[in-house]
Amino acid sequence: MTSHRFAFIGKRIVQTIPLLLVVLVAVFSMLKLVPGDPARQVAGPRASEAQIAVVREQLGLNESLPAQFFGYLSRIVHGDLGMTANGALHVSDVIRQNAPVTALVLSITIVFTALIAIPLAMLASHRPNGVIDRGLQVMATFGVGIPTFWMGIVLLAVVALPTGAFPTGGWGDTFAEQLRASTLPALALSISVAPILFASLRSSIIEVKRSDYYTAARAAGVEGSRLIRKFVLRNAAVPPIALLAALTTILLSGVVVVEATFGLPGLGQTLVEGAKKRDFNVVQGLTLLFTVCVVGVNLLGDVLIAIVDPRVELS
Amino acid sequence: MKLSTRASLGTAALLLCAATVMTACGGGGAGNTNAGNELRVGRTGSIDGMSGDSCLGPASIQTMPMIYGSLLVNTPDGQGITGGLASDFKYDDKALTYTLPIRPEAKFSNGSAVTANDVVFSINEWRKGTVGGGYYEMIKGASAIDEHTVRIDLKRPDTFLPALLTWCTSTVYPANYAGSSPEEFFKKPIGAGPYQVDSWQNPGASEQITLSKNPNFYIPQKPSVDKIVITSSTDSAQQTLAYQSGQLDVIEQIGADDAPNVPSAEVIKSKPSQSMDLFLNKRRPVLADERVRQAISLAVNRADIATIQDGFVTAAVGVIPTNVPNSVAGSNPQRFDLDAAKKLMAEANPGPVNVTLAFEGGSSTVSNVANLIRDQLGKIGVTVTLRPSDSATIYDFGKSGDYDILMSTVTAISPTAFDPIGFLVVAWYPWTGSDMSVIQPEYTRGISTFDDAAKNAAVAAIQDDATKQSTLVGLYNQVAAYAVKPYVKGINPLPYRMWDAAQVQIERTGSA
Repeated sequence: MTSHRFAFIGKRIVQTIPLLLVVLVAVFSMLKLVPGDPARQVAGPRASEAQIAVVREQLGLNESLPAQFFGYLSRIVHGDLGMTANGALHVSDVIRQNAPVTALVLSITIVFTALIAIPLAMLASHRPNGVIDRGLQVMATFGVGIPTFWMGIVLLAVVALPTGAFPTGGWGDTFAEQLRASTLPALALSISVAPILFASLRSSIIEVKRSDYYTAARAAGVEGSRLIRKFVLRNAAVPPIALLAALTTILLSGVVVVEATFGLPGLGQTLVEGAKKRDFNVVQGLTLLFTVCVVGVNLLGDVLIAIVDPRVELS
Repeated sequence: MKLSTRASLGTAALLLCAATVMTACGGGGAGNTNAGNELRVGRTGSIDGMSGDSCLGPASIQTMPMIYGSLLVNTPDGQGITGGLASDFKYDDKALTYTLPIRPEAKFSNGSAVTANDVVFSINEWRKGTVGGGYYEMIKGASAIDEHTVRIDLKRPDTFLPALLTWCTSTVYPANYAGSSPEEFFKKPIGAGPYQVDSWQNPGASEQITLSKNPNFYIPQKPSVDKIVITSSTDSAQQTLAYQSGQLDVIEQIGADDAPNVPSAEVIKSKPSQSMDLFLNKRRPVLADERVRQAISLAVNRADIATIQDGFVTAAVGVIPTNVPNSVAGSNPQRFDLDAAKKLMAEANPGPVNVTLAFEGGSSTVSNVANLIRDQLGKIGVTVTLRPSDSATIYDFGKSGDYDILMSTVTAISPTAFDPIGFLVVAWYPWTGSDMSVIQPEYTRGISTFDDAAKNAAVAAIQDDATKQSTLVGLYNQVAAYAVKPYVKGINPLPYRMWDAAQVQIERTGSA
């Protein structure tokens, strides 16, 4: 990687700092607007006003809003995401425990998505607007339209329950169990993501096949897998890579849904539970993490495009 | 041979798929039917932490006693209190003391004996608690009389303490947390309950708690189940599927929505207890007139509402949960009488009555009840706008007074009607702007005596006061229901939304 690329990456990382600040301010403000007193939530419905006042003091809710925000910011800078509202756990510990679940589900989803979308895009682009192409486009439209939770329920009812090959929920202790537990959620998620990648890749491949360099390569006798890998997929990959950021957002929101449907102890579930319990530190910590993920994937996409297509300048 | 990056990625993808297929075909693990002496329990909700002080929700109420035990416990029928880690209790109403003899055979899971010093340390920790500390304000101090006897000194006469000692906030810890910091201790606590914590994975909405038998539990031959694995999920339908597939042996707190998906013979219920009530905000001008509130109470057809959850609820006649000791009806029970309601509305002549009804919208059953109430109140000219919310917001509305009518639950977690009444005294009576002149002295009277007749009289007076003020309107009392596989024996749900894990056995025959 050239020094030019390093400079670009460094510049982009610095540029993300104001973005993260904006996100933190927005999330902090929104959480303050949401009805529901976190102190009462922690103290419980039976707590007297005196008890609630003590909890409020402990949570720092008596301080002014700017003081609360800058206190939180100062802790983040020192790598401290705070404690869960009931004081039982560090938020960073909660994230550390639950992140591998989400990471595995998303990894398998990406593999499934690629395995579904790439061959089908190649098949569809073989004869554009042919019967197979049109059929696959209709299927892709359905795929995008199917709600992830519904697909999850169908997979549970049609695959997990009758066959017993996959668990209907939960995680597991061994990697094999966790792989099994992640398979159907990843499949449900990839069924809604793969059509987007399919559509993008199909168009790109068709465009590449109409290009002069493709014709020239064929005329020069390049054939088979070399033609596909070197000339078609490499050039067709640029638009789908540019889609990465959008797909990441879809994946992160989709994983919240499949984790609930399949009872997986991932970050999505943790976020939902944190919001329900008015656990501000958990919600803020996870939002920050998700933002960093989206920004990171955006950056990765830019770098990948530059690697795949040398004509693209990083600037 | 050097593989290219693409080839490596492709190979990895193929291996991952192959591994997935092989593990799926291979069986074993999370998807399997459990065949050992292990109980797999599902629930929708997570614990609030391992500290007694943070014990609030149903998941904690069930789990904490499994780990820590408690000084006193509920009797198997849930209608009384008996010895736990303390074999008994003695109340001296002159000296204002309780004396608790600790069982010599009571031991923590690490093998050390439960001593009076441990109990005194624990009581002092309860009193210092941020969340639960206020519950113990009647205690002046605690001291060890000898190695196995504890004396609790009271500030005033109090007969509620034995019930409080069954609560999950009253957990017994080893003195000084066995040399650990509280933070370290609560990561892997040591308790004297029937089970010890093996692991607490992924704390939160989909957590898994693995408990193994405490070899030092004070009841001989108990518990009989070697291991309990508790899995949480936010989705009750997912829990039901896991139960159907054999992945779970028990589902805690199964609702009327999910019960049809479980064989009816496998649904075990407590007696109806948890009370669902309407809370009418007297501070709202439209509800300030007692006759309007009484008309609303009379217009609610509780029998019709009960049919929505047939077999899971009974129509209420008061606001205190039923099937709890001393929970008696008043002389003027709440009832349905549409003609009387219309007559009262005509007398009050309040003009247009437009109110909002806030309720927990996450439950389809509760939403159906809210819709039915809207229709029923429409018959007396009350226009109801539904305001679905979540539980956190419901309590916030209640406290802030930003509501007209709220629908929420009142639950007993120990065998005395004064447990939920205490909740009404600190929460819903002040939040509705109700007159406290009856409930406050009757509550004090009820928790100052062991005389059942006096306690019953106090409860009846409170029920009659609720009917008269009609700021609190009882709707129905709900069972605590559990889905339990036929080979699991001994799950005996109490009205307090808990079951005694020490009594459970697994009796498999053949391939069950």
